[in-house]
This record gives sequence, C-alpha cells and structure tokens, in this order.
Amino acid sequence: MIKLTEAGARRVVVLPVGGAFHSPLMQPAQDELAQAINSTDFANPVCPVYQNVHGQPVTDHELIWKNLIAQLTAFVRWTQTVENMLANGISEFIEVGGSGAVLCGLIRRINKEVATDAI
Amino acid sequence: MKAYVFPGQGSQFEGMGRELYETNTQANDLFEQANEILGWRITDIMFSGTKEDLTQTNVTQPAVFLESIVRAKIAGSNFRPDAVAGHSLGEFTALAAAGALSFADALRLVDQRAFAMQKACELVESTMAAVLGLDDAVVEQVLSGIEGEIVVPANYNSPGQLVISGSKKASKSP
Repeated sequence: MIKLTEAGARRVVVLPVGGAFHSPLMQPAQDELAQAINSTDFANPVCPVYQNVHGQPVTDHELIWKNLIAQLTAFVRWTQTVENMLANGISEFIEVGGSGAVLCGLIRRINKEVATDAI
Repeated sequence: MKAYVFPGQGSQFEGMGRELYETNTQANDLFEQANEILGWRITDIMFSGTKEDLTQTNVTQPAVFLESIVRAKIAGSNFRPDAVAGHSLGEFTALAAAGALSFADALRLVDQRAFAMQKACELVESTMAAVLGLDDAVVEQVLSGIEGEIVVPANYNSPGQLVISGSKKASKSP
C-alpha cells in the first residue's frame, strides 16, 4: 500500500470485508457455488442483464449462469458496465436498496450528466 | 431508457428494511419467507443488529440482497426496467428482479455464496482496499510488481477508484 501511495494514490482505504473477494483466493468458494448454481433453474430475464465479468448485456439464461460462476474470482467491470449501458441508450439509473447512494455516486463519477435516482 | 442497479456488500446499514417490514404487508411477507428459507431470523440482525453483526459476510450478503429485492418487488408494476445490473452480490438481486431467478432460489444461492466465501476467507488472511485518485493502469503496474503474494484488481468502480483484493501479507508489503 506504501507503493501505491508513492505512485501517487490520494488515499488507500482498507475495506471492512472478511477477505479477498473477486480474486484467485476465492477459488474454493467458486467450486462450491458452481455446484449450487448448476442445480438451480434459471429463466430468461425480462430485460438484458449487464453482467460484471464483461459488462455486456445478456438475455440467454445459459450464458447468465456461467457468467455468475465466473464472477467470484474475476474483477467487477463496473465502469465499463455503466459506459456500455449509456452507449446502448440508458438515460436514467435507479439504485434499488441500501443507502441508495453507493452506485449512484459511482455512476455520476463515470458520467456527470446522466440522471440518477433511488428507490 | 431506464436501468435499475443493485448494490453489493458495503451498502448495509443498521436497521435496514425495518420500516418496510413494519409498513408494507407484501414486504413483511417476503421478509418472513426469507427467515423461513434461511432457517434463522436474518431480520432480527437487519433490524436490531450492530454494524459489526452486519459486517459478517454470511449476514451481509443475504441482508443486502433481501432489502434490495423487497424494494423491487413492492414497486410492482412501477418496476419496469429496460436493463438491470448489480455490483458483485448485487448481480444476484438484478437477476431475481428481472425474473431470471426466483426469489427463493436467489436467496438460497446468495446464502450459499456467502458461506462459501466466508470459508474461503478463513483459509488465507486476506482483505480488500480502495485505491483512490490513481489511474487504473498505474495501479495495475504496481500490483504486477508484487511477487510471491496474491494481490489483484477486484472492482473497477469509476475513474480514480479501483478496489484491489489480496492476502494481508501483500497489503502490508507494498
């Protein structure tokens, strides 16, 4: 973390989480989750779901569950997800749950003009 | 066009969902269904647990999922997404809200995911950190120079905010 500060990071904030999510250290959890996901029924969603692993819209449930398994050891492409949504015509983002400010905050940093709301 | 987005871990708060439980019968019913599916009263921790209670992975994940999905469900016909996305755990909520997973199946998967992740966390002391105000490429370069320990980019959240993930040893050495 000192190296990151030396490289110019404004701040490095350790998060209050139990472990290294979205890293190779989650491989044992991924194997376990894969079994659970494999034995669950998925349907096609009512609208495209932009998935974390590649930030692309998916509607085929056969692809959805594969991406959902891969997600656990892969990084979350949130910036790219929001950019792809904007490029595909999304003009308003509504955050559902929590404080309602976490994702809206990130989205406004990605695009200052877009409308955001929370329910 | 409207997109609905669903947050992940980190968006939990003390008393989450309580007002919904007390004021909306459909919400009340969904919360009780969740308690039954899980086999323990997660609502007790959501409504009256401490911040520390809510930070345990096996509590945080189902709690965040539940509070979000209940909000989407009670919105009824007002919930008309042209697209959905969720951040990490929130992807499960997005899938349940968009009808790709049933409420019960999604909750079960989130619960299993949380327990599996908690177990994996106990194998190696590890953590995550948000790197603020640095280009992604520079962070990637610094991380690739760390040898012998696992530390990788985990969430590309927004320009100037990259969350990294790895062993605690690695977080101390760089």
